[in-house]
Amino acid sequence: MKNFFKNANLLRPDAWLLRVESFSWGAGISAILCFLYLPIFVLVMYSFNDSRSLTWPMSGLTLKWYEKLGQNDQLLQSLYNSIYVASCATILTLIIGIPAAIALDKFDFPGKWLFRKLILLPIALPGIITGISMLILFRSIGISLSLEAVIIGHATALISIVVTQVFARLQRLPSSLADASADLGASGLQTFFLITLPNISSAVLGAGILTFTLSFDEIPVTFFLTGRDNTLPMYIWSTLRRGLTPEINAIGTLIILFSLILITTSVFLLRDKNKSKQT
Amino acid sequence: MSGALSARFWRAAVLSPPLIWTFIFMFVPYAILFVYSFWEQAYPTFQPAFQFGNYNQILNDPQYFNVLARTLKIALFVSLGATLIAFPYAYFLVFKVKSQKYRQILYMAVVAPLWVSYLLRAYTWKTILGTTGILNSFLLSIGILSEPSSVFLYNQTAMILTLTYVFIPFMVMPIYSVLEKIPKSLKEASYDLGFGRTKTFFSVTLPLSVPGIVAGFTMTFCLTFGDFIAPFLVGGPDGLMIANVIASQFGAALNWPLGAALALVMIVIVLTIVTIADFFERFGKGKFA
Amino acid sequence: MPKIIEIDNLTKKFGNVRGVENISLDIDEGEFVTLLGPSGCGKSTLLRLIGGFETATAGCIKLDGQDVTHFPPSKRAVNMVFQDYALFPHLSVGKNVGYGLRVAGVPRQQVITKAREALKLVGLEDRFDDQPHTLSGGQRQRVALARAIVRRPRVLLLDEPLSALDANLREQMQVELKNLHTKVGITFVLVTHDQNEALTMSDRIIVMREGQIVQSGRPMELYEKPKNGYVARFIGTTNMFRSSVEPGIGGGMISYFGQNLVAPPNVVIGRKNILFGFRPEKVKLISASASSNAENVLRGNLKGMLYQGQRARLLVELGLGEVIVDMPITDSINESQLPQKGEQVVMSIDPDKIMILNEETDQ
Repeated sequence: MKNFFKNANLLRPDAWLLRVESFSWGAGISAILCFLYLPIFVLVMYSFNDSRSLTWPMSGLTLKWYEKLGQNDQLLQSLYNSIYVASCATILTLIIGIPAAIALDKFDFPGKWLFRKLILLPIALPGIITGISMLILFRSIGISLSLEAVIIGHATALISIVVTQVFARLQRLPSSLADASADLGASGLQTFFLITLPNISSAVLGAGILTFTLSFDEIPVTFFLTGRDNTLPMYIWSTLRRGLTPEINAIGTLIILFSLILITTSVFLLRDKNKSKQT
Repeated sequence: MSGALSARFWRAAVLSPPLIWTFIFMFVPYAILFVYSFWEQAYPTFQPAFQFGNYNQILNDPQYFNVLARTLKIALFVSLGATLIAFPYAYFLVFKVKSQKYRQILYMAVVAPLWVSYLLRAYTWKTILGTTGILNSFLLSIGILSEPSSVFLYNQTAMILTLTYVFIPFMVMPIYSVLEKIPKSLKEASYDLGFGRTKTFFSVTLPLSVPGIVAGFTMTFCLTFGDFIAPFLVGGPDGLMIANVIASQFGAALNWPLGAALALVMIVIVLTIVTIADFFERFGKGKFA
Repeated sequence: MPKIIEIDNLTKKFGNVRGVENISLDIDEGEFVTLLGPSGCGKSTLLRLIGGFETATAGCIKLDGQDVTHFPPSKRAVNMVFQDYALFPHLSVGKNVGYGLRVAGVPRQQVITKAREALKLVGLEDRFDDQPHTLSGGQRQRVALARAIVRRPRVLLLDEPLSALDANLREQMQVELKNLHTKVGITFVLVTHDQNEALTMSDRIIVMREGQIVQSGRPMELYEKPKNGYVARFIGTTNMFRSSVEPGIGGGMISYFGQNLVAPPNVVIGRKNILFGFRPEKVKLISASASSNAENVLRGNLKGMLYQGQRARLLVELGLGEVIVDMPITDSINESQLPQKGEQVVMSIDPDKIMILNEETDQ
């Protein structure tokens, strides 16, 4: 009976109910998206605001805050520091993380359970814990706080990202591939570089980009390990303590732009790879 | 003979860097942290000892308990809030959006904010909610307020709002991934058996999405629990969370032993929550998988 | 024929589970040997042991006289075609086939030439630059073959190579594999659970069960003279029954569901509880009138018939039991001549064709 009416479109309440439902869904989703993007929108808009205050409405458009950025040596220095730290930390996580993922995938060794838990711990625990425990370690060993200490801290905190991503990819890789490579005469090293690595490249790339981004934005661990040199988030943090400045909006907008470019690039890269290969 | 030897060497070469790193930078620091928690404060800094004074202080001084309770409460509200917003969004994406292209766009739209600095996203709420901020001036301009109100910022509600905002994308991802995996045939079978849409949702869809909800909830809860940035930015005097207290021990207070003890308490709480969540997740998987 | 593989008391344990147990086996150069058995019988484990993908717990494997028991796969002159083909997804077909040569340091131009040659052998030289995922299952299998052959190994191992192909393609590939074997002259060791494959392609079949070799021999030998109930059931269909041999005129007599059969010549009279069997196609259908002259006449009722194109498989009820009889359909038989359900069927079986299977249980 109901079907008959639906098909004949005779019964209005049914169709009306559907319309109301679609409308509510649409409204709800739009509201959520607005909520999510409102602050970002505000940030970008007010980076062009003429006056220092953040009142509504905006008083005028200007690029002066961006100009001021270019002259702010401290900020620029912290930017370079962040890039330096993020690059080194990413390389470190890859060098340590990829073998760790391979070990978890292929080998059995005493203490494997503990190893796996330890590697995942920094992600499960709040960053502050990693920060202070490394601070205590460095003090005990005698390493002074510096950008290099921050690099080690970031690498430790972010290794699990590389490990989980690469491990998941390795699990999906048929073990017969490595067997076939060995069967055809390749040594372990040759198999790794010629067969394994090319097939996990998307996971490595994705994890690398993610690690770089997280390191760039990292605060809890950096907070406790920074010495004289600041990273960008630490510089912004210290500026915020002194009060709001529109330059923060400007640098924030630039960071958003940079992140956008990064996301689009990684999506673009990964999409191409998915099309051409089927594993 | 060379075969077995070279395999062993290869294995050792692969295992050593991660194992050594894990030992030095993940195992040892926690061990030292544990040891530090028994040290004592000695002017101007602290000295080695073996005493339970720090733990006594934590257990007996009400201020620590209050802060912990407040932190747990805020973490709970944030996780609930994020779930309530994230679940409909994920549900909509998986079941209501027919075109794959739009689904991807909407998914990226909710995940993209994660790539923008956390500090900035929390900071913008400070600018929006402040007395000279956008919300106030907007309300002034349309006449709802006659003078700027300070009620929006520097309290727990502002913190909950800010943190919920930050963690919505974190919740959408696991829920989406778990809803996506529900085979369409299950819902169809349910309808076939005469269940209406509401009943199907509560008997089929919701239970199967529990692992995803639990995963997101736990992650949001633990991350909120350990956060010290949001309280600093928008929290105000009564919005102090446990992480702030710990941070101050390593700052001006120079009471590292107490800080270590507090950190250990935090570790225990977080690990307990993670274990409980693990149990729930396995329970959910076992019953419905 | 020189022995290319000598296996001596080989054992492989996985924890408490026995993969293979005390296997001894020799394979001649140029043979096409099939390891046949159900899943879990140890055939794949044995193959992997030969290839070097598993390390033996005890025992010894010799390849061309050299002890390779502890050699890794890369050091054995043996190549394997994997069940999932294991083609490297990120390399083209040509690069896949040339991989083994490239890894050995062969100059690039030679690698390309030899790869093309190998692909020509399997009929796929025009797909040299294509990616593996654009090929069909059968084509991928042939690329895997080419890749394994290009290094001219002494032994080629094949792990259930045809199981992923559909029935028609499978038959075609059986012929092609046999041809390839003849053309290239390499020793083939193939693993399968499909007895048809084994019968069609092999010079020798090795039937395995629970980690051990049950019987080894030429296909016809295994078919006509299975050692026990397990082999008889695994290869072809068998009518099996237990009975004892009673004394009778000119030899022994076997009781079969209430009717009597003349026993095969070499049977020991007086033995109890022997497992006998005979093949369905060895039973002849005779007319009622001819029954008086025939040996071992059985009478039963037709319970059902499975029409199979070139033959009809009859299920005949005989007393308390059921016997399967295959009736070839020659061009002089038309549908009306096929027996009807319920009809009486008269059959005769030659005593020579009754097989004596060991007293072992027919699991």
